[in-house]
Amino acid sequence: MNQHIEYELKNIMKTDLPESAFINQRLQETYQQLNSQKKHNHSRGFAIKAAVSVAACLLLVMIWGIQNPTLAAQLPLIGRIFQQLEQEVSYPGDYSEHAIDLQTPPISITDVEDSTQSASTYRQESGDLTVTLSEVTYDSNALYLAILIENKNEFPKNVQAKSFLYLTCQGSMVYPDGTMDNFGEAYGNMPAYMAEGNFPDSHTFQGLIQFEWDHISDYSFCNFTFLSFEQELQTGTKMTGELGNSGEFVEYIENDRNIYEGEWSFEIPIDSSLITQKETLINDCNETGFGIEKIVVNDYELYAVPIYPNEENEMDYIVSIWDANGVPLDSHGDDFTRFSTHGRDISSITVYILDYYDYMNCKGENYKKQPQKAIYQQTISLN
Amino acid sequence: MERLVRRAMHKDTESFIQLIEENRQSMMKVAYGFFTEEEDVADVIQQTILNAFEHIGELRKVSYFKTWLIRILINNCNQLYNSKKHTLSEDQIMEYGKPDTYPVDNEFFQLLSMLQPDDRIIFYLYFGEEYTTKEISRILEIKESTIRSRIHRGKEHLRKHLHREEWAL
Repeated sequence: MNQHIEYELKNIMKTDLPESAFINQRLQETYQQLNSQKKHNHSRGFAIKAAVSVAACLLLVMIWGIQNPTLAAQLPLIGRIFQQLEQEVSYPGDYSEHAIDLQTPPISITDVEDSTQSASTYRQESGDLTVTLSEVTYDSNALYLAILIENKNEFPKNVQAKSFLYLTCQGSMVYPDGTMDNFGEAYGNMPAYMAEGNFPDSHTFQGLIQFEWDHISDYSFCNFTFLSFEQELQTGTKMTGELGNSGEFVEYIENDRNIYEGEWSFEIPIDSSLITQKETLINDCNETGFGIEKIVVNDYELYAVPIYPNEENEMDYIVSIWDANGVPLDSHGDDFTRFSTHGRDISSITVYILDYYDYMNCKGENYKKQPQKAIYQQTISLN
Repeated sequence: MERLVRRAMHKDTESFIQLIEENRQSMMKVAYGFFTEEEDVADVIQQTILNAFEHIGELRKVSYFKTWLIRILINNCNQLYNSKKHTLSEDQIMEYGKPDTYPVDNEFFQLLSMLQPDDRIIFYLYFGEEYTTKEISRILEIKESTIRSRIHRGKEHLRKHLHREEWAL
């Protein structure tokens, strides 16, 4: 991380906190408690738990990078962006298998009523940037866009991050009857914040955008406009500012930002027949009133619809779902009720409902404790 | 540190205590990312020390000790935070979440108080502990793009709330 970036923020965050007599006393009491415990000789014949090492995390970070520009220059990017990036993004999935190539859309898309889109309208120029939508796919809960951005000038080299661009957008999801649900900063909802990808060369960025929206199949179009693309640079301006009204001033570096403003507008028809969603009805409850109504599976994720007793608050419970190999599924978004199916065997799943506090003790490396702590569990065949 | 961790894994309390002391500042800052009251910070750190000592034999890699300790601490912070939300009255909840009542007035707490509650722990782990967004994503079990967007949002928030005076470089 460049020493010039957020230098002051780091300095402040690394400032030692003053000694607290209260906390010191509590720590000493705890140390005495440890010292008074007998040393136990435990057999460490525990089963091996899944663990993620720091080195592994760093290795994954290193996978992000600029592709070999020579290779990139030889192969066309349009139509292949999902294939290149789908395993690299923070929400991996087999998007290329279900991708709609917007340069040569399938008959089902061109036959959608009132669609006036052609391949050329998926390429928009505004200011220095030309934005091309290469491919799109969607499931019931999100649109996934593959995007190519070409810059008349070179993208700056001294950027803080080489694997994404921030973006702002606005638009609407349009129902078949013409009514619409709007999104954008003015409406207080932003379904997408960034494009994740890389820079094949100094004039080009390719990336994926996950555009989260519920019940995609209810709509017939998505109209949206990108308003800006932004990068934070490694340079900045020394500033001084007052912290609140404290009278205390601090120095900090305000990073320079490279902002491309414009309007790149697109319309994406949505064909609900292309959305694969399978519901498996369970309608099972145990004697305490906890259970599962159904399991919903689409191309990239699955989720359970739980049943709770009337008097219970659903926020007090967490659903955990294991794959056929007995490994918990990862979440596929900010909503932890949705799980990624990428690379997993979900022919059979086991659903656990846990009290929130028990779940917090049983997640991550401690996941094998979930069955004994679950207040409801059910193994379900999804074949 | 590796030698200390190995000894602590064999239940050498002296080595374990030394490890805790070496990480005390980090633990306090993480806890203050969740709470403003000293008592709450002391509670979660105490619980974390006891949990960590009990389970240190299960640590897979000695180099992973600090991250492992922080994860235990964050779990305990979440538990205490949610248990407090359940037991407080509505007025008390309004008071509890207020960001302006840290025990000491210094730059660290002033910065925290300017951030959204959800952003504080992320800011500390990113700028203070210099974890990568991928590592923070694993620690907090939050999507990495969310981590990035919150860091971005937090910085935007700071920009808006600081009365600025531009200096020439």
